[in-house]
Amino acid sequence: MTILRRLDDYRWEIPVDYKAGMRVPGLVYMSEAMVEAARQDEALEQVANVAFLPGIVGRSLAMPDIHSGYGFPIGGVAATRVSDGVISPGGVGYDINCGVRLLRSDLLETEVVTHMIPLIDHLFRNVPSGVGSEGRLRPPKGEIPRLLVEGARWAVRHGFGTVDDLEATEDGGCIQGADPSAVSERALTRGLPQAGSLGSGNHFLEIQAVREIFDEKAAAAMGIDRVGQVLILIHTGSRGLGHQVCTDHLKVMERAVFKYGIVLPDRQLACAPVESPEGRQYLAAMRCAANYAWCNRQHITHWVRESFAEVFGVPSDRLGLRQVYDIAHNIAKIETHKVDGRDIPLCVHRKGATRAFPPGHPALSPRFRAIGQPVLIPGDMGRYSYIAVGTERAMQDTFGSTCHGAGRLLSRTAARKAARGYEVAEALRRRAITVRTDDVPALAEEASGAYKDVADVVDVVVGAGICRRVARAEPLGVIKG
Amino acid sequence: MATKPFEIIAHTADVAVLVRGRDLAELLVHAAQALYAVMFANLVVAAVIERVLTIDSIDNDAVVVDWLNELIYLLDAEQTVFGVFEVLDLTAGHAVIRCRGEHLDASRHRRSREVKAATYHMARLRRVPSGYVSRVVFDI
Repeated sequence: MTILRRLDDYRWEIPVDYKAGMRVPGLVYMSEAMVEAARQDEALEQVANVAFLPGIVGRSLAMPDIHSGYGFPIGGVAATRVSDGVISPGGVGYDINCGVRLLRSDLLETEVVTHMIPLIDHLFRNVPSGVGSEGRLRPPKGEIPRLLVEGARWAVRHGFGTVDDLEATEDGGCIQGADPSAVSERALTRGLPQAGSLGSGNHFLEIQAVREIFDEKAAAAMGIDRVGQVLILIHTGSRGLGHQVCTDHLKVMERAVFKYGIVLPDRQLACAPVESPEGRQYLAAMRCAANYAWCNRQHITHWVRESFAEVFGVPSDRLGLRQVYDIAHNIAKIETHKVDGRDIPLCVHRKGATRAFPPGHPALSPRFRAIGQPVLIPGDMGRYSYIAVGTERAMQDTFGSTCHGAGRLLSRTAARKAARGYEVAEALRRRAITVRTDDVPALAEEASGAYKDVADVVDVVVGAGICRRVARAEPLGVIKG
Repeated sequence: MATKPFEIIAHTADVAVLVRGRDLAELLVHAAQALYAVMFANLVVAAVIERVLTIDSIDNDAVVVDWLNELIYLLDAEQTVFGVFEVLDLTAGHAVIRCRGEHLDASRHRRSREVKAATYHMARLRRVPSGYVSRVVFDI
């Protein structure tokens, strides 16, 4: 049983002497009410295991949406020194740059609910989704290296979106340092047929209505100005390409662990020095997969706009379908942070965690400099999602990071035992939420009861000061991948 | 054998399986069956195509994981499923397996879950009186 030492209402420490080999303590953001659930699975052990990574600084962190992952916990954040630390593909996960994108509209809930069935039908037809879904995007072979280097910019250059979208995307939708030669033929063969698809599992596309605005100034900067305003949230990642990049490079890292004499408590934490050939190759390939994911979400955005235009009979720009923000929540980034009073480059792993940079940060586009980076925190499909902004406190305490969602409470098996898919669909219908999926039984795995209440998760991160609430939105229609 | 060849067990975010075999060769076959049981509902595969797969890994714990990742790759990249397996060669960190199966046919093969990968998380072959046991966590 992990020893937890309470630091305050929102933070619990796993002491560095909990396990021989930990280089730093663990620190878990959660409320007292969340402690028991966290103790039920391997997540806290995984926080302690991550603390073994060479070059880790500060603490092995976990956000309140923490739950058991593989290697890293979901909700884990770990920063390692670039100079003598490691990069671990397990700290990013298989779905590289899994992330969320939020669009706003000029439409009101009252205008949309009467069109909800055709709207969901059009979206379902235009955005491929579900198990084994193949994408609509067929880039010519000669264009693939450019797609992997340019990310969302490639999509915009080919008419799928606007420059305005890029300014509202983390890293402009294009992380620098991507090298297509680091991506295997196998990753391309596996991933390219899925380009332009939502996928399955917990991926979704959701039409929402704003229910509450907490910070009018920040909301206005994001184009959110009234209760009842319709938003669209897209959750997907790098599909098979990212999965295969991770699989390929973990095999390389398995050998690197022996080569560099690294001692780890879990093989899934396999890693190599950031500055080693193995580390650089992984980073170069991971960045390609991250760019592929941004390109994927950019295309889906275009098809969402097309769907709205088809249903409402006017061009999407007349509906005000503009991007609020797009964030990655499975990624490793080289960022500069203050450690012991000095600015040093760190490799920040966010595995189910969101970047949350404060107002004034140079990485933010000018439109967000005054308010801080938008943070998108989806909840489950039956409750609500939050929009927040990053803070200076996050920069000081969590390497500019906060939570990424609600966090699972029940295993998929337990969720299927708790309710049947058709019962979940019926419960949503009673709450006037339209749901479409090609796999009704799988709805049970994504039921509200399978997740923590995201409001509780947000209470912790806001209480701890690592982001600020801006708005809350509720689902009107859901496509579950 | 009296015990089940595999069991699907709970994991908060993903799906895990516990696989058994009287020897390592049988465990590899059961691991493949477990993977397909996670990904498909009532999968029946005709043995009309054949592939011989060679798995080279750092040790036998990794052979199990790498073997499953090869099958996941072939499903996504080549739309191929297998139902008959024959382990032709097995030494430390090395396996050669003949697989017989067919290309996916949506009218007969219903995919119930997408598996991104078999993970190395706590992947460890254990010797037990009846042979070998391994737990594998799949990323869903």
